[in-house]
Amino acid sequence: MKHSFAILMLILCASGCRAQTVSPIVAEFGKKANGAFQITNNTVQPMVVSLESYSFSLDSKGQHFRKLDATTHVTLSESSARLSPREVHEFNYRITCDVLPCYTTILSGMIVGKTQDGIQVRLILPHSVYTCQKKASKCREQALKEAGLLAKK
Amino acid sequence: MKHLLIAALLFCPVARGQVLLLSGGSSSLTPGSGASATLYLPDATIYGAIGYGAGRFQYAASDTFLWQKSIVTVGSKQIGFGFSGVGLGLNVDGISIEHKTKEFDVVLFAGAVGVSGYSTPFMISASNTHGGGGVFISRKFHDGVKLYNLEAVNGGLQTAAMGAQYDYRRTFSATLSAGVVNNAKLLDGSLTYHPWQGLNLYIGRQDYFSPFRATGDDAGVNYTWNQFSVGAALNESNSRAVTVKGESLTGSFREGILQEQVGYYHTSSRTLLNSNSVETINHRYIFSESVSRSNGVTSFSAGGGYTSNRLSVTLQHSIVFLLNGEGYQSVTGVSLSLKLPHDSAVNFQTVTVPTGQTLYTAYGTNYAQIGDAIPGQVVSHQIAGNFVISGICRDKEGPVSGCAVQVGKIIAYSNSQGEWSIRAKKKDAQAVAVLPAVFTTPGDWEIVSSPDSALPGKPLEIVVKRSQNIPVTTKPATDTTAPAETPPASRKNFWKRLWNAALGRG
Repeated sequence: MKHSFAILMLILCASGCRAQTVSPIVAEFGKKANGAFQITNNTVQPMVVSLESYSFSLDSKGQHFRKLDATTHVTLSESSARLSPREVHEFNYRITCDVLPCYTTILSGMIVGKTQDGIQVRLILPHSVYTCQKKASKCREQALKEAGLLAKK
Repeated sequence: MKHLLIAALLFCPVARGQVLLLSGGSSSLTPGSGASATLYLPDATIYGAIGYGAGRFQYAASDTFLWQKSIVTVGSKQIGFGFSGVGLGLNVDGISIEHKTKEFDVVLFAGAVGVSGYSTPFMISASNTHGGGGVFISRKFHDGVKLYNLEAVNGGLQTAAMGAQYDYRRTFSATLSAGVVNNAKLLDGSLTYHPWQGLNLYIGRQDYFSPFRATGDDAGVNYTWNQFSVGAALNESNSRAVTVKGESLTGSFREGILQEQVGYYHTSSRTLLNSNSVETINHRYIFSESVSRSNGVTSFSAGGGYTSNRLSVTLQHSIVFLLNGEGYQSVTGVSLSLKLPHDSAVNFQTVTVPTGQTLYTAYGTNYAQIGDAIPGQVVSHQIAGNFVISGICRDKEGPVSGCAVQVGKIIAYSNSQGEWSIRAKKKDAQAVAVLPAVFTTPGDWEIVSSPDSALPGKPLEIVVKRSQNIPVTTKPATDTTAPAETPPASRKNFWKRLWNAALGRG
C-alpha cells in the first residue's frame, strides 16, 4: 500500500514539475475589470501562448462557454506572446460590460508537447472574470449560488 | 561627458537585455590591463571598455546595430583588415558602416582615426586624436578570384593597398598584396600547390611592422604518405640590418599513440638537431618529450597536456624560425583554461612571437543572463497603444492556429479561431510579414496571399497552405534496402581521368 502511494505521489509530482500554470484562475470585479493573470512556462524551452476571450454562463450542469457577447468589451495587453524558458508572463486586461453581471473567461492556449504518435498536445488554461454591479468580493459566490452550484448554508 | 555617454549606452537598455559578457585581464603580448562589458541585445550590441594599454589610458564605447541591411557601429570600433598577408588595424571613434552582398563587402568609416588602439581578448579600445576616414572594398568572383582595396587616411599616415587572391579548386592558391601601409611600402605574396594528395609545395614572403620592421621569406615542400611524413624548407629573415638564412629537413611517423618527429635545422651560425616524441594516450591526456643538440650541447625537455570539459592545460615545445636574427629556436608554449561555475572562465597562455619574445596573456570572462530572460522573473506588458492591428489566418479548410505574423517589430500568433492582433501606438501603416518557419502548428507552410502592410482598424486576411506534398503513386513500393543497380563504370579515357583525379580536377 505504502509502495503504491509512493509511486502515485512520484507520478503526480513528476508531471506537476513541468506543467504550465495560470494564476489566478478566478478574478472578481465591480463595474470595471482591470486585472492581470500570469502564465508560467515551467519548461526549459520557449513556449507560445495565444489568448481567446469567451463569455460563459453557469447552470446546475456547470460552466458553458459561448462567443463573446456584443455587450462585453475585452482589451488585452497582448493577444499572444512567446515565453522564454522558465518565464513568468503577465497579461493585463480591461473588461467593460454594458450589461451586468457578466462573466468572461480568457483561455490561454499553448503547445506543450507531442504524444508518442506525434500528435501535438495543446493545453488550454482558463482565467475566469466575474464582473458584478455590486460587491466584487461576493460576485462569484452569487453566480454560483444562482446556478445552484454552491451548497446553501 | 564621455563617461556619461558610456554609462548611458551601457545601462539604459538593460531592462530588455539578454546576455551580458564581462571580461578583464592583463597581457604582456600587448602590454596593458583592463576590463570590458558587452551587452548582447536582440537588435543591437552595446560595448564598453576601460583600461591602460600601449602606454596610455584606453577607453571605448559603441553601439552596433542593423540599419537597412547594413551593419552600423556608432562609437569606438576596431577595424582589422587582413587580406593576402596585409594586416592593418585601424581604430575609429566615429561611425562605420559595413554592407555585404554575395559578391561585395564594403566598409566605410569616418571620425577620429588612429593606429594606437589596444586589442586583447578582454579589451578592445581606441583612443584617437587624428581625424580621418577610409574605405575597404572586397570583391569576390565566381571563379575563385578575390580582390581587395583599402584606402585610408589618419593624421599624417596614408594607406593605399591592393590585394588579390586566387584559388583553383583545392590544387592551387596564390595571394599578392602591394601598396603603402601607414606610409611604409609593402609587398607580400604566397603560392601553394597541391599536385596530388599528400604533396604540398609552398613559397611566400611577408612583412612585419611591429614591434620592429622585419621581412620573412620561406619556401618548402611536404609529403605525407600513410603514417609517414617528410618535409624540407628554406627560410630567410631580414630585420635590423641582419639577414639570416636557414634550411631544415624534417621527418615524422605516427603509429598508435606515438608520433615521432626528427629534424635537422641549419643556419650559418648554428646547427640544431631535434627529436620530438608525442604520446596521445586518449582524448584527455597527451605527453611529449623533446631532445635537442646544438653547438655540442644536449638539452632535454618534457611537456604534456590534459583536457576536460572544465580544465585544459598544455605545455608544448616546438621549433620555429625567428625573425629577430636568431634563426631556428626551440620555443615553449603554455596554455591554461579553467571553466568555473556560473558561466565564468579564466585563461592563461604564453606565446613566442616570430620576433623572439615570450609573452603572456591572462584574462577572465563571465556571462550573465539579464533583463527579460531571467528565469522566474515576471515579464509584464501594460495595455499600451490605442490602435489595434488585427487579422485572420486561414487556409482552404478554415482558420489556422499558430500562424506567426510580424507587424513592425512585434510577432503575433493566431489563436484557435485564426485571429491575431497587436496594439500600436501610432495610426501609421506598418509592414507585415508572415513567418511560416516559426508557425507553432505542425507541418510545413507556404504563403498563398498576404498584404505587405497593415492599417489599424482594417482587419487583414492571410491565406496559407500546407506544403507537405507526399507523392501519390500507384506503383508497388520497392524494397529500399536492396542496393540500387548502377551501370558499370566506363573504361573509356581511363588514364586521362586518372590524371585529372591526381590533379584534383575530378
